[in-house]
Amino acid sequence: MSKDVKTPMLDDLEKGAWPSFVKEIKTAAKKSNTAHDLLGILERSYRDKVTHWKHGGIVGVLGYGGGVIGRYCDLPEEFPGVAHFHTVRINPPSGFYYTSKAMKELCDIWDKYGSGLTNLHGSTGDMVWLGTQTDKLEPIFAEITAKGWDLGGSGSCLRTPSSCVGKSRCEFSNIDTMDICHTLTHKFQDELHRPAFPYKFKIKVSGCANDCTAAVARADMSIIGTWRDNIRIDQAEVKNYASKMNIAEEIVGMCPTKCMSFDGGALKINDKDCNRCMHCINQMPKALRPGKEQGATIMLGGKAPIVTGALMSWVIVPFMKLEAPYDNLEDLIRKLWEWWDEHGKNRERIGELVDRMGMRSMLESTGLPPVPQMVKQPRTNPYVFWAPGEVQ
Amino acid sequence: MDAQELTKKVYELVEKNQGKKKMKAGDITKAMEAEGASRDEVKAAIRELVDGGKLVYSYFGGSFIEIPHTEGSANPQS
Ligand code: HEM
Ligand code: HEM
Ligand code: SF4
Ligand code: SF4
Repeated sequence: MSKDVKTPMLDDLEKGAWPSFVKEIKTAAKKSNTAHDLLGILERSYRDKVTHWKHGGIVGVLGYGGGVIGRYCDLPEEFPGVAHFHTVRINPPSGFYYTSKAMKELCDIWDKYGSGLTNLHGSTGDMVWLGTQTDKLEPIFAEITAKGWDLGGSGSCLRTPSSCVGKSRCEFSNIDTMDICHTLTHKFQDELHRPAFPYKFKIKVSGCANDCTAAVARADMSIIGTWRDNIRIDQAEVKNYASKMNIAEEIVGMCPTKCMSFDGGALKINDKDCNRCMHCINQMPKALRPGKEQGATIMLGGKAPIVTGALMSWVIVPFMKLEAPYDNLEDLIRKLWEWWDEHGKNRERIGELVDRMGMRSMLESTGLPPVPQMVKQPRTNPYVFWAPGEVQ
Repeated sequence: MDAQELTKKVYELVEKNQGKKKMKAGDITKAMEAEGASRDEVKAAIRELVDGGKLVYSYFGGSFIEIPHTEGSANPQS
């Protein structure tokens, strides 16, 4: 390892008050040749104004089609330490709870076989290990599985499902997010490890509309905890808040559906018009709580802009009871996959397929009833098309 | 079609297309369904071939199934 790599452009990124990834790579470079050459190739890319990375190919562990993302550099003679720079995805525990012992064991494995650089957690939800070589993959897999861990998803498969901390730490949660995430991960092992879809599919579970996993923007299937009865109100606590805040302005005035009223005495909510946005509950957690009849809104289609533009998930089931073992949810997900497998083009996300073929085809094959909550925007097409079977 | 015959057919399909058309799991499934196999049977056949190392998954902007070959990893998509 040559010690004298000069990185003037990267050094610039260490200035300032914020943490710097350059500083972390430099620390890792003291022990790892891979991290050392990563500094070199990054500086080179900044200078050349082109990326020197290539990706894809056949890399992975025997039997799995996902979990390892193949990456190579196009200057292997100059930067042998990053000739291969594969990423390994480790499926994290639900809610991201680790013991420090488990964390140390994982880091030891990674120091032994890789650059030591990690990303906790990637946008996929996985623990991401950055930079190793093809011949290290089987040994890494053997060691992590011996400790009870598994690889996450990559490629055209179910990606590692993820959830917020849910009921383990958050009183807002309407569903057991961690159990749902854990159960789905186990139900769908085959779909996670053996890519058979047109493209990737992500599931994220948030316990309430605060959506701490950002499921609506990031997941093909967004599962958002909600309730269908009335918000529980403790009027004595409302009185306490009234002495500290302007309820009429900050709560009632900012309710998006204008379904609340406050006359200085009691707070009233017309729950029929409430869209369960969580604003009032967030602001007055001691006075207001979600209702008792809890479940989830199931939404479909969220994705970032790769092939076509970004999509936010939209409602396909306004309210679903979610109790272990969640067979109703599993059944719906499998029907959606079947429809997508049948009609999806290569690299077409399920939301894009709904956009292309329309809701009708999706609803017919899943048996979901069309309901007003599915409406994203008023229709602009004045024509109504009936399927032959619908005409008497 | 029995399982052994299906496994052979899946392999032959991939072999025939190797270097010409990249096959996705879905393409293989559709082709074998047309010959009378069920979705789950095709899945099992692919799994057997991949677990045995006769076929491997590859990634080129999406996941494909191929016969292992060294150019794949030595000459990835740029
Ligand atoms: C099978 C034959 C035809 C069908 C199915 C058909 C269908 C339609 C429909 C659905 C509209 C829209 C009506 C509206 O919403 O206002 C329309 C508009 C129109 N059609 Fe036809 N049409 C046919 C034949 C013709 C013929 C033969 C002509 C002229 C010789 C014609 C000229 C027009 C014109 C000018 C408009 C626009 C009217 C406007 O500005 O609102 N159509 N047609
Ligand atoms: C059976 C054959 C067809 C039927 C029944 C049909 C019907 C219609 C109807 C009802 C409209 C809407 C009229 C309106 O807005 O008032 C329309 C618009 C139009 N159609 Fe067709 N059409 C046919 C074939 C074609 C073909 C072959 C072409 C072109 C090669 C064509 C080009 C257009 C265009 C350019 C418009 C106008 C779109 C606009 O308003 O911006 N149509 N057609
Ligand atoms: S999404 Fe809701 S339930 Fe989950 S952690 Fe955030 S606030 Fe709590
Ligand atoms: S949850 Fe949102 S919509 Fe419902 S009453 Fe509170 S602020 Fe209004």
